[in-house]
Amino acid sequence: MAAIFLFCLWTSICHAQPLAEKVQEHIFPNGLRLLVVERHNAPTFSAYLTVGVGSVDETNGDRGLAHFLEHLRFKGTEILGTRNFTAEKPLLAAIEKAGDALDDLRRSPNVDPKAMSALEDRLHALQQKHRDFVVTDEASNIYARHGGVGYNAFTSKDLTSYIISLPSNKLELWAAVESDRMAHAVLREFYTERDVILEERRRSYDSNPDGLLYEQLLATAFTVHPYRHPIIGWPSDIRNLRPRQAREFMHKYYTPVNTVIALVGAVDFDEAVAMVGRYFGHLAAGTPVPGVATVEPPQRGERRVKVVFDAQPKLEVAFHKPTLPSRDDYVFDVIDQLLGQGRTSRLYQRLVVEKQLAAEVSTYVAPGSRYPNLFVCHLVPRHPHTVEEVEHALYEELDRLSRKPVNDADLKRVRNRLRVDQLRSLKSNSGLAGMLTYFQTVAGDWRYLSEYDRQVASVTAEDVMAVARKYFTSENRTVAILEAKGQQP
Amino acid sequence: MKKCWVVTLVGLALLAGCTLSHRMEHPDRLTFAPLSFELPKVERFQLANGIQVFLREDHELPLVTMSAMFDAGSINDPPDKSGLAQLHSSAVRSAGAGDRSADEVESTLERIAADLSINSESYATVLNLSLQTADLDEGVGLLADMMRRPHFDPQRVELARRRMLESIRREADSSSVLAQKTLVSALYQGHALGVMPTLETVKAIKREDLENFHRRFIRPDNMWLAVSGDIDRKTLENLLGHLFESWSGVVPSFRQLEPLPLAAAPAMLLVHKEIPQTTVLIGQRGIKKDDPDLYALRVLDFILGGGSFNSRLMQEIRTRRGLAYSVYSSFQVGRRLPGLFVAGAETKNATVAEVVGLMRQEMENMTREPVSEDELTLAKDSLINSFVFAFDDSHEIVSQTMRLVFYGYPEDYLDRYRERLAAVTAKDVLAAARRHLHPEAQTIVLVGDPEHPAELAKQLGLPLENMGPFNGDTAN
Repeated sequence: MAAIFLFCLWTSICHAQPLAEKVQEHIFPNGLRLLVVERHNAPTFSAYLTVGVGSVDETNGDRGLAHFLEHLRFKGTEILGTRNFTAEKPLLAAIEKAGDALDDLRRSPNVDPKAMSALEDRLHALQQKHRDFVVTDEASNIYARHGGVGYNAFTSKDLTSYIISLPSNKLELWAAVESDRMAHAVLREFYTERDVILEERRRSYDSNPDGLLYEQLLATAFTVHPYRHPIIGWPSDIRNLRPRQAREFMHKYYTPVNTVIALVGAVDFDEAVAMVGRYFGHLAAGTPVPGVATVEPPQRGERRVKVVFDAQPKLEVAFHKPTLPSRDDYVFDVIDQLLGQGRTSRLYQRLVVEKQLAAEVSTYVAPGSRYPNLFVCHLVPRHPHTVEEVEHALYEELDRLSRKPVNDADLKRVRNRLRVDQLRSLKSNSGLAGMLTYFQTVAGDWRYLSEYDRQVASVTAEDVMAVARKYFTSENRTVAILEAKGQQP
Repeated sequence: MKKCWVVTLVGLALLAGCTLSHRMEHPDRLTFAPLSFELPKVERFQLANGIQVFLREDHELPLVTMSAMFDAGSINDPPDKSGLAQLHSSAVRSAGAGDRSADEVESTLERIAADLSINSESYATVLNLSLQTADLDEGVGLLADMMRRPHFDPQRVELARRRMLESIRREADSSSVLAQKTLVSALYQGHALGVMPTLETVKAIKREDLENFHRRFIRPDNMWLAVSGDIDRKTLENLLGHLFESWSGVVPSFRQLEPLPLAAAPAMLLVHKEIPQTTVLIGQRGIKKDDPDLYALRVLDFILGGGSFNSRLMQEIRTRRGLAYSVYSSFQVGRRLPGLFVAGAETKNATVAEVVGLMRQEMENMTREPVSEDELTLAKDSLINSFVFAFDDSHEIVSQTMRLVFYGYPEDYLDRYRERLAAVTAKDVLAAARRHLHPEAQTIVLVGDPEHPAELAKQLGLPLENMGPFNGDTAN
C-alpha cells in the first residue's frame, strides 16, 4: 500500500503548478489507482472510472465489443436490475442459446426461412418472459433518486470511462454501485441492445456525412493498425457479436489492474481511500491489457478516398505522426494552434479571411493517443469554391510552415494559449476528473499534464519547421473528400 | 509524513473489518448523512447608467468570467431581414472596435488567450468572455469598445455574412437541424418566432441595419452583466466605472410582444432524404414560465421523456424494444411567449410507424392514467436532490441569477423551487397533462426515407405534406 502525496513537485523556475499541488494519489495492492482533487466550494463531486480498454484492443471477430460492453454494463448485476437472479439465470442461458443458434443460422449459406422464423419466435418468447425478471435501468434509477447527474459512459479507441456526479454525501453509493458493476456485471438484454447499437450506428455514421467521412479517412490512412476501425464497429461486426465474447473480454480486462478512478470535488482524500479500499480493495487484479503489437508501416504515397453523399462538399487531410510523449507530439500541439485554432491562426487568416475560399477550418489530432496517430485538417469550402481550391491553398500554408520560421510573438502567443486553456480546464470537477484519468491511461501518468507547460515552452521555431518538413509530405498524406451526390464527373 | 501513517492505518483497519463480508448488499440499504446546503449568495448592484451587475467572487484560479445579456433578440428581426440579430452579433465580434481594426481585435484577444463569443437568442443577445485576472483591463476595455464603438467594417461584415450564408446552405446536411427548423417554422407559423434566416433574408441585411440595431438595443440601460472569478467588488466597480460610466443610453421605446396567432392545423411533414434512418420530431405549442402547471410539468417531463433511462419513452422504445438510440421529450418553457413541447427519436426507416405509434401511446397514457407513486417519487427525488448541481460552478451561479432577473422570474424562484416540486401530486401531473399535452393536435416531422408515410399519416388522421428535398439554394 503506497500513499503518495504530491505537494508542489516542481520547485518551479517560473510559476507554481496549480495542478501538481492539488492531486493526491493512492495505488491499491490490486493495481487500482485512485486520484483525488479536493475542492470544497460546492457540496458535490464528480467521479470518473476509466478502464484502459478501448476499441483498439479488439481483434478481427470481436470488433465493436468494447463499445457494446459499455452499453451492456448498464444492465445491472446480480443484485441490481433483477427481481431474482437465481431464477433469472437459467432464462438468460436459454436466451443466449436461442440467440446463438439464430446468429449461426443467419450466417449459413442456405437459410431455411421456416427454421429462421421459428427461432426468432422462440427468442422473442423467451425475451418476453425475461421481462418479468428485469428491473429496468435500476442503477440509473438509484443514482437519479439520490440526485446524481450526468450518469453516462463513453468508449474511445484507447479507453472506456464511466461517469457520474453526485451530492457529496453519496460517495458510498457511488463506491457500492461501481464496485458491484466491476465485480458482478450481468450482461442482460443482449440482443435488444445490439439493435440499439445498430440504431446508434445509423445515427452517427450511416445517416451522417461527417461520421462517414471521418470513418473513411481512418480506414484509408491506417491499413493494418486497429485505429482504422470505427469504435462502434462495422455493421456486420455488430450483428455478429456474441454474449460469450462479451463476458470473456469483460472478465479479463474490466478489472482493477486496468482501472484508474478520479474523484474531484467535496471529497476527503483519507475517506476516499478508505471507501474505495473497502469496496474495490478485495477484487482480483485481473489481466493487464497486453497492448497492440501491430505497427502501421510507413506510408509510401498519397492516399485519396471519396464519400458520395447527399450533402455539401467537405475535405479532411491527414498526416501520420508520432504520439505522446514524443517530442514531436508537443511540436504538433504548437502547430495545431498556429495553423488551426482561433481566428488568428494561419488557415483561418489565409483561407477564410483573405482568400475567402473556406467557411470553416479546423485542425485536430485523432483518433487516439496510445499509439501513433494523425494530424488532421478539416476544411469546409465556401460556395462556389471547390474542394480542389481549398486543398491547394492548404498545401501552400503547410509549405510556408516548413520553409519560414515562426516569429517569436506567435510562439509566445501559442504557449500562453495552451497554458491558459489548461487553467480553464481545471474549473469543472468533471472536466478535471476526465483529464486526470485520460492522461493516466494514455500517457501512463497524469503528471504528463503538470509537465506540459515546460515541454511546450521549449519548442522552438526550428522545431516547428523541422516537424512540418518531416511530416507534411505528400507521401505521408491521406485525403478524404465528401462529394455531393449527383455532382460526380 | 505523519499524515501518511494515519491514512495507512485507517485503510488497513477498514480492509480488515470487511474481509469477511464481500457479498454485496443492495445499495438501497445504505444510509447517508444529510446534505447541508445553502443557496450561494450573489452580490448585486447597479451602475448609474443602468447596467445591472451580478458578482460571485471565487479566487481559486487566476481567471475571471463575464456574461452579458442585452434585451435584443432575433424576435425583433424584420421578416424580410431574418438573421439580423445573428449577423449583428457576429459583426460586433469580428468587424473592429474602438481604436482597433478587426485584425487588431483578434490579435489582442489571442495575445491574452481570452475567449470571447457573442450570440443571439430569441429574446437576447448574449456575450461571454473568459480571461486571466492579469488581463482584466485590456480584455474588458476591448469589450467596452465593442459595445460603445463598434466599426462594422464593411469588408468584415461581408465576411460574416458569407459565412452565415454558407452555414444556411449546409443546414440540410444534418437531419436533426433540418427537422428542428421544419418543426419550429410550422408551430410558430405566422409569427416572428417561426421565421428562419434564409439566403435571401440574410443577403437583404444592410450595414446600416446593423448600426440601427446596435443603437436601438446595445445600451447600458438594456444591459445585464454577470461576473465571477478572481475579482473583488471594489476592483470590478472601478473597472466598470472607468470603462462604462460615460456611456449613456436613450430611454427604450416600449416594445409590445406580438402575441402568437392561432396554431396552424396539425400535419405530418415529410422531408425526404436518402438515408437509412428517419429523424422523428413531434411537437405542439407549450407553456410560458409563469404557467401554474410549471412544476407539475417538470415532473411530467422527467417521467415521460426527460429522465433519460428512467423515462417511459426511453424504456419502452430503446431499452425494451431496441428501436432507437436516442428518444426524449420536453416542455421547453417559454421565457416570454409560449415555448414548444417537443418529443424526438431516430429510428430505421422500416420502424418509423411503430416508433411514432409508441410515442403517441405514451403521451396518451400520460393524459389517461395518473403516474405511479414510484415514478412520482423518483422524478421528484431526482429533481430535488440534483438541484445542488445548479450551483456547483461559480459562473453558473451568477449567470443563472442574472437570467432569472432578466426574464423577470419571481424573487423566490430558487428559494422555493424544491418545496414547489415536492408539493406536486400524481393528480396534479394528470391534470397538467390533460391541460397541456394534446397528442391528436401535434405536428409530426419526418426527415429521412420512412416506409409507407402516407399510410401512417392516414392512420393518425393527419394531412401529409411533402416538403420536397431541401436545397440551400431554393431561397435564391
